[in-house]
Amino acid sequence: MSVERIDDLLHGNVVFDTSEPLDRTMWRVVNSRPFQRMRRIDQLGFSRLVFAGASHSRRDHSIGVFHTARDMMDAIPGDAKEGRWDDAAQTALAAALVHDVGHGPFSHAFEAVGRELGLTLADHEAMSDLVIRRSEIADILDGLRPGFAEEVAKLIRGDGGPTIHGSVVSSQVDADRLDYLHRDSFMTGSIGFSVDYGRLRANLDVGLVPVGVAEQGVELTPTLVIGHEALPAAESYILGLFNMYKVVYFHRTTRGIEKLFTELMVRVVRLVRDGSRDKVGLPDNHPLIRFAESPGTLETALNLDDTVVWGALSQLRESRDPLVRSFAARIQDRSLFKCVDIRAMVQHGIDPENHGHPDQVEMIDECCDRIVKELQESKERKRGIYGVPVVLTDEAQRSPYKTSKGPYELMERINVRTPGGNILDLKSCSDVVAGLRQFKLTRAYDRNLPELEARIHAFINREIETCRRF
Amino acid sequence: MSSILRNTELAVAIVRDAGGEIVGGHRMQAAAYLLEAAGLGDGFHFHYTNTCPYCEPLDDLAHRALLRKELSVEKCVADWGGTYWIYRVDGLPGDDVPPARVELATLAAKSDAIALAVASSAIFVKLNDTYDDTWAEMLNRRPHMLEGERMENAKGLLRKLARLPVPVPLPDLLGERDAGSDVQVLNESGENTLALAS
Repeated sequence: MSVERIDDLLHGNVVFDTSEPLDRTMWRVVNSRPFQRMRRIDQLGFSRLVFAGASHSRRDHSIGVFHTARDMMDAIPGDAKEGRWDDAAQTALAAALVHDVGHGPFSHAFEAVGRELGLTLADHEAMSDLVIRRSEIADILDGLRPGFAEEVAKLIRGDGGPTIHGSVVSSQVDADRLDYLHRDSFMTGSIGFSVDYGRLRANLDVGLVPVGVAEQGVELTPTLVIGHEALPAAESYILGLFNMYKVVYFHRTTRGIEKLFTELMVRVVRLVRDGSRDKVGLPDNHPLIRFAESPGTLETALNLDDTVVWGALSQLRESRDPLVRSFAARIQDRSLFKCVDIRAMVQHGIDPENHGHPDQVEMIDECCDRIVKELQESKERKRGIYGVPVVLTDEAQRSPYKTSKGPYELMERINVRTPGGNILDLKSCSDVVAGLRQFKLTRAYDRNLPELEARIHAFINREIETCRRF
Repeated sequence: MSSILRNTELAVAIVRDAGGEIVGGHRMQAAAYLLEAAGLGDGFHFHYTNTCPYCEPLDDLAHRALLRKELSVEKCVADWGGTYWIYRVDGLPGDDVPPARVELATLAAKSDAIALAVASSAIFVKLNDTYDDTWAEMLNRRPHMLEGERMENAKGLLRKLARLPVPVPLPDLLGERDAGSDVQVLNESGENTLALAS
């Protein structure tokens, strides 16, 4: 047996048995250029400016997902004729390894740039799809068997609906979430939000749930089921993941830097598109300039990573464009806009006792929407000072547990096997999970000028009064 | 936000034109997709998810129409354990609504749910994807939906759809349009894949 090993902080030795075809293929993928690029993309983006230890990369996480998926896959009976895994398992394991190869610099913040400007390859799913099907990774995967790259891409796209093997890679308890919750909580020092993976895994098996269309049942389909002895671990997992969003992923400072980054990148691309490339302050062959010129080209997108952006900031802060100059300096020096928690102010103004009556919840949502809309249309946002916005807004939401509808709703929930042998939705087994409410954030970021901040606070309070009157 | 994303009447009209009642969100999505494919739609864009073509903005519009009480809804639990909604609206299609639109929407709403899912998916795959063999791809995606009687039901629906006098004829997935009454589902190589499926 010939083996290669990767030392992982969480999982210890992740072993690739290169005498076995799948592992050999995966090892070649790990050593490919698109995969190694993920070393230069931080898993948590700008969070490292808030949480000192959050320096782990997408590559580290991807290795962890592969390892976790391989472990979970052992819970699924296979029909492998040769080797350890059958075709469906091989496809899912490869998908686990490459599912993040399309992430751009600072991951989700870069996707916001793509949404603003319609850049397809800024979307990590579209980019991953292309990297898997068209880059050297495709050649490596197809070396295992013809068409394998397309099978992997298809599973990640979700074509054909969920399957038990696919659920290891993409579901409410998948290897991706299990690894990132474990890893991110550890690296940010938020270990109280981690996951009891050992208990979950020890109680994981396969059950049959129905699939149907509207009133008609179609078939019984196998899915992963958690034994009732792991119910507390499943509750902690849901709660931990939810709290990570509140505390880490949606941290006000991280989101504030992301807003500056998005504005900066949007302006850079627009300057290049408008023929004002010379104002940007970067040489013509810089990867950011090349991406702005040809955003649909795989090669230019593959040349982008966090280090490209960090390295460009010194030149960007000497740009002839005031926004580029200002925001590049702010990111580099961590001199950030100040956060105003609009939703907290509105909540206090409308429902100070946090009763959560539907009417109050709706009023809070409407009031927040009005305030954000007004701020987005304000001269402070649109014109700013010398063309640089002095107010930015931010909105996001997260549901603790997703209840889907449609043919696969029983597969897409977290299924728990009761002591009596029934398979039930986690939500109906757990008052804790059933009682969780959606988390929403509505924030403004201002340039930290006392007069401006006072104006924003006064404006928000006026709007709250208006909402309360109606 | 484009005007199509705000106009809840578009969702209401699909239910109204289908006879005032559609059972299940999937029937509404499939009906709307077939209207688009036949040149009788409102400009919705669909992508393939799970079992049939899906348009999220249409789903959002239907939800908004419920909140605004422009549509009524009854939530039901199916015998298989899943939930579905029955959408209803009063009134008749306007005089300006093409009869073909009413006929197609009504046919979709009255169809067997699985047959409609198969038929709309097959048409979507044929029109949007690059697979050489539509039926091989359908078998690959959801083989259980094509077993035995279900395939016969889907064939029957496809046959009815192909006969509708619509502005853009729906694809002839049964290979019957010019081939008399012998029903076969032919792949591009001329093989009868229906026989393979059943």
